[in-house]
Amino acid sequence: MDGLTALRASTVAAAGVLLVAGCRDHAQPPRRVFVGHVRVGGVGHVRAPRLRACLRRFGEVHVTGRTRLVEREERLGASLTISDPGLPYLYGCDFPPSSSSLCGAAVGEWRDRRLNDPRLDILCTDREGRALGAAWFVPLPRARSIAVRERRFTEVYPPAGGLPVRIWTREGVRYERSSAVFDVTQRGPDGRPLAHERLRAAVAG
Amino acid sequence: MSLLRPLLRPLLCPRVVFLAAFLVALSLVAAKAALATFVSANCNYNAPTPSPNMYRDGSVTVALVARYEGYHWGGGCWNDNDVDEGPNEPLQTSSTGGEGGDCSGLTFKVWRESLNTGDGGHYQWGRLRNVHGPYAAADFKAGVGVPNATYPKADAIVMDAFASSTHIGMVYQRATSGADQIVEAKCEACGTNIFTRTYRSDSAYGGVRRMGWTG
Repeated sequence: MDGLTALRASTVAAAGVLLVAGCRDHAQPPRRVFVGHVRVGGVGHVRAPRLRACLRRFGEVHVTGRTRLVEREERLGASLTISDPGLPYLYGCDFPPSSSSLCGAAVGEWRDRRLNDPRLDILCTDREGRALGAAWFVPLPRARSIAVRERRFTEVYPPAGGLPVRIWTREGVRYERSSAVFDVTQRGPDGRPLAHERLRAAVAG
Repeated sequence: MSLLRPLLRPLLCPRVVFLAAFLVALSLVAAKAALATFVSANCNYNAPTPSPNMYRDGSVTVALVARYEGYHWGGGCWNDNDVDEGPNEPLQTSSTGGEGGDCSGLTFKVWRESLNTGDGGHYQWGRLRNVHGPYAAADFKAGVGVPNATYPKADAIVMDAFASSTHIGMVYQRATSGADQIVEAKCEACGTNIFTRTYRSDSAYGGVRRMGWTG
């Protein structure tokens, strides 16, 4: 048993005792909610500098009339997801908020609405230099919003274009282990939660 | 029922509750031990050792230790017994904790890179140090990170690499046929080994060089 496991065991035991003792619930500060912007469509619908930067990174991508583009602007970062129905790949480019300088990128295998892996990227940083994690999340068909919870705020992503949603986390990044955990809740048309999960992703491939 | 009450009362005292919680925790630990993976049972997160020099021959040796040790999606930990101790894992699943690196994890470790993308120094990672590094194959292909640079494929020599958007392998030896012997972590079924490949002439692949070799 390593130290971490022993610590976990002690924590479980202590939590049980505290539960029985009935510890008071501390008041939580209100969590702010940010709803991201999304643009869906062809070449004319997304910011040209971002598309150019992304196509420079992925020379094999040729944008045609069939290419689907989803551009997202969120609090932690922006992204461009590119899918050509004729190709089994999904291409993603990550940017700092309101910027067109590419800070990360990802390629995933995308077949029959299945993605091989969330394709985590941890190369982007915030203004303070802290690592950010970006990964794709495949929403349920009925989902109308994807909420990713951070400690102080929740970021809401509207699904769009029938493509996986590029989501972000700062607190979930475990940079030393090249991995990240995203606290994700999907909500349906009536606003009720459809599913909640902790998406675990690692840099791979 | 009223006869049972005095018998049950001692069971609700804090000491008994604590003992019950402790036993539950112990059983969780035992269950975890029974489900130990190669990574959880063998690997560590020790700091790497900085080294002033880095030779291509030395990196070949590092790569050959990983040979026959298997493949693990998102992995970066292996021993040196020529046995894959995490075989037949689910494809492209990082959470199973198997032995071996994937293509980019192997390259990161063989090229002795830093987790800090702005650091071009040389860092010796122990073979049982579980590290993948921040780069995927597409990042290497684009020359992302201070130690990495795109490089003409025609000039690629031993321990330079060829990378596509989904795979990377390092040159082990240039073959006379025009193909190369490539040391790479290819897939779960094929493991980590030396393969004859034509990446040099494949338009999907670009050349990548780790900068800063001593010789």
